[in-house]
Amino acid sequence: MSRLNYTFQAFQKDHFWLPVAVMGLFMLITLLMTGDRQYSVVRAFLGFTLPLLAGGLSAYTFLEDSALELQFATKRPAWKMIAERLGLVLFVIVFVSLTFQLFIQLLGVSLSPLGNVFQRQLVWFVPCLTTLVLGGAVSLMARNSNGGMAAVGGLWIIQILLRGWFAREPVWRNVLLFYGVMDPLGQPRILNQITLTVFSLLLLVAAHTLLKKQERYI
Amino acid sequence: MKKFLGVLRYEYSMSIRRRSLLVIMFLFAAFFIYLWADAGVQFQQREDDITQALLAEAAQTVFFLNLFFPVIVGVSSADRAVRDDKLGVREILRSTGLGNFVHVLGKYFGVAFSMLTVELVIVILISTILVTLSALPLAFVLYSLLAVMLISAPAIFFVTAFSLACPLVMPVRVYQIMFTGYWYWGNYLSPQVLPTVSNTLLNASGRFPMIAFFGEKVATNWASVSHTEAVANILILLGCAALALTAMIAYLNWREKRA
Repeated sequence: MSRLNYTFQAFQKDHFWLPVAVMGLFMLITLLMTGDRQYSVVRAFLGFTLPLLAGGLSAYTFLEDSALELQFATKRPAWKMIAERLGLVLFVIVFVSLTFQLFIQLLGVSLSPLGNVFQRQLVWFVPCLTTLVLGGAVSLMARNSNGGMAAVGGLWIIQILLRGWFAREPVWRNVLLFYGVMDPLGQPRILNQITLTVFSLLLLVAAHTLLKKQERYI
Repeated sequence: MKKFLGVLRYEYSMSIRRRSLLVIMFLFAAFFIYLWADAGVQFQQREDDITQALLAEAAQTVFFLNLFFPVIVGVSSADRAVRDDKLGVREILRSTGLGNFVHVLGKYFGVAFSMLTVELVIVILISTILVTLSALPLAFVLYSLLAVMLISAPAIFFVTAFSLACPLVMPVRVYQIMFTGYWYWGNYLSPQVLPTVSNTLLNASGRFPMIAFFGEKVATNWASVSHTEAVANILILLGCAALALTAMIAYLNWREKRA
């Protein structure tokens, strides 16, 4: 518990307020919209914006800790550090997403086009998980938080702008972060979500291997 | 001038040697080349106006590269000024009598030129591949470089200025995330979806110069653009960059007075 408390304290506070502030902005925009445009804003927040937030914040979870060397001096397994740090970002993202969905329910906007309750959680959770692990893993690979953010930012902008091309290509659509939200009830989304989850796991293994080589970050 | 060139040279060499960011830029560029090859080069040689056709093709190549390249430029540049504060470099430089004006300008042009160099290398690489594979005239490489100067360079100068200035007053990661979102919202999102500046002269995607100077429209529903509008677009972007740098210098001066 004290370690979790340390992780919480070590995080910059914008890890917490930024997702909440962006959620507030989208809530405001939703209130200003009417009809189908409200659903478009909800879709934009859950399916497109949350993955960027998750990836951007996770890129800064490992290497910005000023006491990183002290952390390495303790005999803590790498997986615990990964779980604590990425877990905290994921917790914030999950909290923000669920709060936003609650707000949308209260507003009376139907989320049924995104499927049942379980399916609509997968629509945002799977891409968030992928960018979350990608941001962390690339920052460790690059030994630089900026590298992680550049990878997440570059991937996000390419995929959002070329999402039509990705969605049309039978192979490439499986790595499209936004396929779930673009085709929430289609059959190909299952393979897409499985592929993204497998990628996340592979990146997690890579992050674990990299974090064990502590001398790279000192 | 000597001090300015010294800062510029130092910043340029520091900025361009960041291997991890170079690797990421070239990886995305490689994906871009793959996309281009996969789509098949649609170049149609028109007997009557080969120069115009080549210019249009060069513009399109650079415009597509501009979809993501400025995002990586913005993210990469965001820590340049903040890093000086963190490492205490600014205090050391100030003790040498180097003013904030010269320091900021040198840093700005050093970072911007380093990013422009990377883009020029990528564009030369892509256009050489196209020249080789599609048997295009060698002039295509020169047209591509011209397209970089008119379509992409204003965006790089615009983005670099804000990426140096904004992180001084907000956390780097917040700026980087907001900037990535802005690049899509402010340049490519249709105003019918959300209120945006993408249809105004503040658009930094290079759409205005591409249509006006190269006669190329990627989407059929894009309106025509006059030469005056395209020049105004470039000048507005450069003007915004100048404003951001002026604000940055004023902020640094103010902070020093308070210290």
